[in-house]
Amino acid sequence: MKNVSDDVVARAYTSAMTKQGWRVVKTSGGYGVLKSTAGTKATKSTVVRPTAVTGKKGQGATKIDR
Amino acid sequence: MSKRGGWIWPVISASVPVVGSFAGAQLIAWGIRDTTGIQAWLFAGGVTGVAAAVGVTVAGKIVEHRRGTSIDRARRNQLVKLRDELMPFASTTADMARQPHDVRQAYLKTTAQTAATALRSVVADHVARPRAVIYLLNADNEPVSMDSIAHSGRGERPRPFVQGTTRGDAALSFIEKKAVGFYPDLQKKRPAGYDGTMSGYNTYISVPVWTESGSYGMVTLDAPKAGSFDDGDVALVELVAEMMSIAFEIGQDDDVRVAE
Repeated sequence: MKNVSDDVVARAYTSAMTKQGWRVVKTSGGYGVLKSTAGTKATKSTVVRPTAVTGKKGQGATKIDR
Repeated sequence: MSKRGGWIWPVISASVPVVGSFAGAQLIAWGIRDTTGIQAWLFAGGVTGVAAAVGVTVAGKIVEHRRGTSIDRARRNQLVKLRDELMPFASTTADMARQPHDVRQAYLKTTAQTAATALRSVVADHVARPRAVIYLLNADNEPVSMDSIAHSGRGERPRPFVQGTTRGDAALSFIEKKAVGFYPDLQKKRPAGYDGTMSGYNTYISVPVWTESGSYGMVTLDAPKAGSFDDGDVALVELVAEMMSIAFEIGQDDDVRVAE
């Protein structure tokens, strides 16, 4: 269980991370993932997305529901 | 990489056939016209020149054929080795995806170990004493750190990169940029903010493991001798990092939460 000073330390680190433009989020896998808070979004040029996923996912689901 | 003195044979194989055949023809023609009694010497010189030209041309063709054959064989061996080394990595990752979520973390470590072993093994064919390391972010630590989850090759288990230290901040900023780091000779050029000890290595390649969810860690490859790595090695580290991103993605559910 954390005490007050631990929380202060944790907040200080979180603040420092935000200033640096990123923060580390704990995943449900137990490890962390570093997320950028600077507003820049990098995308992978290597990814080839299937058209079935990018274009018509919602439409297909609606048809099944009917 | 070209060996020192490797220019000698190309110069000989290009010049001797031209010079030898020209000089040989001139000497023989001179011998036919000669009336001074040195005809035999001129003929002998001419025949020698032509023989040298023919000999070097034939030798050049043989060397070229052998070199082509050995390059082809090396390429085949390299591809087979790539398959042998990367196959356990891919198979373990695929098996990880089949498991219940709560046991995937154990698989992640095994997958990382197969990745580090594969990377070190493939590179070890042309690099002396390489070391491959896979790092992941440890969000439980305060301050956060990036810890070695698996390593293969030379040396001890690498130290973690701790946020708040010069070394740690440089590494965390590096993975946030999602760019490749390649330093052929650390004595000549180092990354900004680099505060590493360079214990046992003088060159390294570092590639973040990331997806559009964020950066999970990084894959590094280092070696004691500067200039050991080339662009092919960088490409291989990039491939391993990309494959590791599969394991990191399937090691979790979508419901990520902020560390407390």
